Amino acid sequence: MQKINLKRQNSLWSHFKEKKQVRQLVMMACMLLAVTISYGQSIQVHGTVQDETGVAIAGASVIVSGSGGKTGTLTDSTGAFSLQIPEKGGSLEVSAVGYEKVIIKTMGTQSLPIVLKAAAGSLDEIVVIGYSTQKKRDVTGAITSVTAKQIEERQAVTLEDALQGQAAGLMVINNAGEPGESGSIQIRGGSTFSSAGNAPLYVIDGVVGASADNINPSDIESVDVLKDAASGAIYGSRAANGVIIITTKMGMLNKPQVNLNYLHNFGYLAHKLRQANATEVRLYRNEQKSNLNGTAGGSTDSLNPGFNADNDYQDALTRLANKDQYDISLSGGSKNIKYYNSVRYVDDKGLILNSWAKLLQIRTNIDFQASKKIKFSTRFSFGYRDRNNINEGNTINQTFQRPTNFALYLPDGSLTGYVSGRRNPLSVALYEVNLNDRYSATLFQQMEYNIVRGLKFTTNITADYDEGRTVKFSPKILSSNNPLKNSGSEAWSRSIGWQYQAYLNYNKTIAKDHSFTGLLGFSAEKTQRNNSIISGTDYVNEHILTLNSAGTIVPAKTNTGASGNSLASIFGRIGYSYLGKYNFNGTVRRDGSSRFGKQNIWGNFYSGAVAWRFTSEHFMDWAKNILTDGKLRLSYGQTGNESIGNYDAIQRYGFGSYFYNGVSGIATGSSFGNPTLSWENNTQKNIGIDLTFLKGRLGITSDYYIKTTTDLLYNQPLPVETGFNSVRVNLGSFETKGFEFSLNATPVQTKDFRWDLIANLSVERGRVKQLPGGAFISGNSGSGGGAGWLIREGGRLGDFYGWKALGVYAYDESNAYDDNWNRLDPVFDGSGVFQGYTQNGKPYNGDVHSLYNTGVKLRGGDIIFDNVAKDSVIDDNDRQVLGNAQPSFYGAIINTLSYKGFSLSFTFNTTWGNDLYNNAAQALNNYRTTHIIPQPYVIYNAWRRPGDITDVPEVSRKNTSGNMRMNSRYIEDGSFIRLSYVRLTYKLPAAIARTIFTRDLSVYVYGSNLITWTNYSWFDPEFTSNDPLQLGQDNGRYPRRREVGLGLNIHF
Amino acid sequence: MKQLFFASMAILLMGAMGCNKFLNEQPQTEIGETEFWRSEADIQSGMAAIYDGFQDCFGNDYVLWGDARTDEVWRNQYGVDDHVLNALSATSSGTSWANFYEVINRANVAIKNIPLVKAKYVPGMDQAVLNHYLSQAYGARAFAYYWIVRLWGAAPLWTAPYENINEDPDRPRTEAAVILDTVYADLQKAVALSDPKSGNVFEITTGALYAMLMDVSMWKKDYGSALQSFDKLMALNKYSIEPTATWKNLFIDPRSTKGAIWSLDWDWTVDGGASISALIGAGDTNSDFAVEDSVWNYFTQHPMDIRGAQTIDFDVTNHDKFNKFYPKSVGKQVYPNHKEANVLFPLYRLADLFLLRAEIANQQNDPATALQYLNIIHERAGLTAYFATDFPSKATMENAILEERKLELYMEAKRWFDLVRTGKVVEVMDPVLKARQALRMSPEIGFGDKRKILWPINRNVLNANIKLEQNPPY
Repeated sequence: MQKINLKRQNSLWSHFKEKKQVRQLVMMACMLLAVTISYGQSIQVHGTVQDETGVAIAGASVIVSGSGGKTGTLTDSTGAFSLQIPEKGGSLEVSAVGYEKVIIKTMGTQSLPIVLKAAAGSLDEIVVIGYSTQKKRDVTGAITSVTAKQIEERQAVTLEDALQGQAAGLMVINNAGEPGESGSIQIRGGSTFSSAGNAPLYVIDGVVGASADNINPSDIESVDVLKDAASGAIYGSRAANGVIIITTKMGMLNKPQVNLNYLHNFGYLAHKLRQANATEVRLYRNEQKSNLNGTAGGSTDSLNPGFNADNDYQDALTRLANKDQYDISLSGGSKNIKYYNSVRYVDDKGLILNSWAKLLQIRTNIDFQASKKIKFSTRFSFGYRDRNNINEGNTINQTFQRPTNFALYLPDGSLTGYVSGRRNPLSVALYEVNLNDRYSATLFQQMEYNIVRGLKFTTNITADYDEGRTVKFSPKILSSNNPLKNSGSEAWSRSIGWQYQAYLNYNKTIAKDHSFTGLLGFSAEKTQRNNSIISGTDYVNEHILTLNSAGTIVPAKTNTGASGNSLASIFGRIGYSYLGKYNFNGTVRRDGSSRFGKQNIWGNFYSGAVAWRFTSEHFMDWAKNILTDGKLRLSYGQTGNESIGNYDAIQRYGFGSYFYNGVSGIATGSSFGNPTLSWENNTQKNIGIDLTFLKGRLGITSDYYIKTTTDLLYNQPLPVETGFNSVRVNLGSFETKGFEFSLNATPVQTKDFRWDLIANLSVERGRVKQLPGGAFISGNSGSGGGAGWLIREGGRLGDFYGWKALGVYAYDESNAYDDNWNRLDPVFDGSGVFQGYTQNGKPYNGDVHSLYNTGVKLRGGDIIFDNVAKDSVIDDNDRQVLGNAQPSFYGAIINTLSYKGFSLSFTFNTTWGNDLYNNAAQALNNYRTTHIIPQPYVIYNAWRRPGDITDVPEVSRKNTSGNMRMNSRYIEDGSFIRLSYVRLTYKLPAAIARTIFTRDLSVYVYGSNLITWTNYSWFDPEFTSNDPLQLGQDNGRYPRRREVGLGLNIHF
Repeated sequence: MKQLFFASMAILLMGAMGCNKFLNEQPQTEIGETEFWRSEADIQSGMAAIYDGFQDCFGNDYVLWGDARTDEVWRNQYGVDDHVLNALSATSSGTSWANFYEVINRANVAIKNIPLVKAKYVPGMDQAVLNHYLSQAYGARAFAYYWIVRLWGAAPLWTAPYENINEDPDRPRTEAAVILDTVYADLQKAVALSDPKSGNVFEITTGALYAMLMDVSMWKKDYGSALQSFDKLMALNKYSIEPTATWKNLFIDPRSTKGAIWSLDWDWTVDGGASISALIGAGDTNSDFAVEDSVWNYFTQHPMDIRGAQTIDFDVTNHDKFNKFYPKSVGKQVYPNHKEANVLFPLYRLADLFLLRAEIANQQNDPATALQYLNIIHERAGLTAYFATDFPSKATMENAILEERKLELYMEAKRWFDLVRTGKVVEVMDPVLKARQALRMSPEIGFGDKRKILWPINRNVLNANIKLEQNPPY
């Protein structure tokens, strides 16, 4: 056996020739033609095509060189082919997606064993760019592609799992922990003030604006992330935050293939927190009692069985999490038809007792080549999810708030409900019902018609259905009413929508060197949402939760709602390439949205991009041996945002919430309808470079961009004297500058060992450029302890705004300042009698000033606040920006090592330089509620007597001194580095696998969230903030799990 | 090339066809402004929205405005110092006038549209019926401005609805005197339009309008006009003092009494719970306020005063439960969950006006009449009548009337305005505040700056209107 490994040639000539051939090849594949044309005197050759590990490659194309693509075939499912070739002998070109092409000489009638090498950073990869595709080498915008292989290493349940760390500029926050939860994905930072407006646009198999919730990551063939506006502009109004195009898998021309996968994951509480034990609770009680305003004495009675437990709530409330994941897929194809079917079922039992989610996803993809010219495609996907939503506030947060000496169980073994105003978190977890199930289905039908060579008409229609139902119930045992009362509700929601698209694609090459592409299309879509809720109390039976069980229906919480929106568009693209050296793409899109004012329904979005392959210039020939390929890209594009309320442009009268004396009132809402409302515009300039070294062993891509949002859709406060609170307007602007760097490398590649590496780094700096009114405070602006944020011109989103704590006054006399508000040091004699002040060691005899809070003089045990305004009161004027919730950078390194049958992949990711507000700790430590026990550190370190040097204020001083307002004590560094995914796979040698009638068999060990390095003190520093104006506040979330699992993959 | 041309044209044609119509989406749970104000039923709904606005105004804040800054209450451990230590700031609760302007806007919309209903859609509508609706709208607007001017002084004046985005929404404050004149003029207009036979205790009736007129005149120290309004009210022959035995009905069932003039209806099942209950007495939470010792001591030491046990809960050791607005329970008082509380806040009732009548007499140097009206209320409470000799001077009589008002109208948002109206804020509150400041180990400055009688304007309200200026010294 002779193995032939021919490397791809990179001369200009072969590049061009190759390109032409690939196009023809694609055409052939599409038509599923296995044409064999005989010449006068020809011979039969046959052979097999395999990858480097000996696995057959089905669907590889084998073409006779010089036949102009006319003579060729595709390999069957065993990788075999046979072909008639001209007698003289010649060359065969063998290629397959994801592998390097080889050209081999035929030496007569032979059996040819052909081995294809996996392509390293192949430039021939197809990139989906919206309504058409492009080869990676011709791309002019900033697009990152993620392949099925990259995703496979993750055992992803959600898209967030699949994409985290895979691409520069893609900020993926994974909320992994709670069953059924996902996370968030943001491309190149937020650019507007609403979270909906900051989410990327998803295009799944051509369906624009599809929901990413229902995608099964193992169905994904490729993900193309359109980052710059020039790439996204073809999607116009919704592409302001980038576009994620997902293409799902399709079967290949071969025998049916069955793929089975099973994974079982165990999950552990990744980070257990220290909580005050019963002894510490009593210590704190004594502390409360001994103080002047002390009121608490309760719950320390040594004879009361209710107060003499010593619980480890985290142990009681959590368990070993178990997750089963089953996947089965069936794919294949024949001459005219190709198909892919998959089913996934996930059964997840979370860390917190009684938290669970079940997920079922089904997909059917069919392509049918009806004739040479017409192809029909069907994509059907169905999703079902069912979960019990655990109330985090009443369970995991309650475990920290509730004193550990409170009983969980009554003497008879039944669970307690409320004890001294504190819920029993175990009862909440076990008895509170919040069941949510959801069904979604999407059906997509498409016809492609090749009108003439190079001109193709595509039309498709999508129907989308989504229905959700939520049943909530809180039984009597959890009631705080007197007498006890149960309550519940049942809510339904339904969303139906359709989308129609029709477009023409045109390709033409003139005079061999000039290739043109064109696109012209039209689309329209409409969505209708309906919902209803019925609420009741006094259920006669606590197991029957339908509303006939409710004794009383609550009218204020019983209603139905409805809304709809529509969008229509015309779009087009022109592309030009000269020998692949100079590339140009320009797009235009005109979008109409029902959400805007009558005069402003339509918005136009343009883009242009150029790319220059400088390595194709002769003056770069010298570098050819090292720099295989180099391309400079420059783009400019406009996109838009329409993520606002459906009817913000209409002045409306509402009803249902203005009742008086038996009459349902009608009134305008608090938001003024603005008929002049228009599009939010986003322009983005991007410059980037793509470099390929050493024939693909090393690839580097780097981009710099400036993204500017103008006519910001902004909820401007109206003077309340008008009777309204706010009006939606187009005002203000926002700018993000960013830098991205990514690297693909294969540092080691020998016969048996291979090491692949992907690394990326992203830096984003967003600033509010212009804001009507200059600044406003989002979140807490009062005396509470929750976080507040300053949103101001020139500022960043996520600027925490509050008071800076400099320590705690040791003595009453320590609250003393000179005329310039510099601290004075009190001096005491040996018996503790106050003597006077010194400053810098010298006696001070000037005026002594003190600080006050709402008329109350601060004293020993109160927090020393930074007196920004330099006056005698600590008030709103003393606030300052305390930190920022956005990272300085984020990035990831993904390694894949393979040695014979073994392969090990592991991902490190990091988010660095962001601050978080630990509101979960703040809520414990604010002394406000008698039966909420602070953290042990606070109990031990609270100021007790004059002279104590500490950073924790005295426990009786809660409201009068302002000690508990939002302050820097709870700002923490949220930086982390995480070993987030690890998978070790062993694949049986093909020969052995075949003996047990499988094509492939592999077993693997999988782990996620294995090690985290961080200084953040609460459960985990990584979580999603729902509101871009309120970033980085940790209110105490469902704890993250550390997962370890075992899996099996069988391929028939 | 020909195919390309035709195919392109087909696409563009599809795109161009009927798009604007396709993109016309109308609200499905609300109606556009052009579809409202077309029938009498619409007017009724518009009126309900005005009263609903008053529920927003008084559902939480009336205790803060009318009682919290006085010698009626002290704070509980869960409350804040702002009100009870004269330490209000621009972020204190109760500093926003937004809800009053919500009422004003709804009233302005009604005043503009009610006549158009008859003119454009229902020509046969009875003019008297229409006038009575209009009268309520004027009355509501006047009442909202009256509260604003008493709490904050000068304020932006809007007498027509804000309807056009191009109209400047920022207006500066209009002088307090001008606002008060507008209030008075609106009330007179309202009385003229009002039908004395229409309405019920939860609405602005002719009686309620006279009560407002009397109150406004008292605020302006125009005792003559106040007396006229009182007389006109009594001439309606609708009102009389509720007997001792059924005093509680004034707060829990105003429809059943002749002593109630205007009360705020509340039904938690549609309005949500009256959140005022969380400040003064709800089953599921501690109150923000506790009974001030002077009141606690008076009521506990005078058990014959029937108001005590029906006003505050003697059984609660931290003195933080006020039971005035709830039916008396058998045994231990049961309080509703704050999300299920109804508080039928009495805006005007006859006892209030009788005591004002006593004040008028006292001001007009007629102590006999003053004593007569004072004693009606005093005796109704189960106490023995005062003698003329108890009050040797005009000043002692005034204090006695104010004291009676404090007990009778306890937690009905009258005390603060009584103190402001009679110029007694500093006199009464100085000693109280000094004692509280001592407890806090703060400088005992008493009430301090007199300009703090006016409330600060809420920070967000200030920020939203660039032409507003804060009340000094806040």
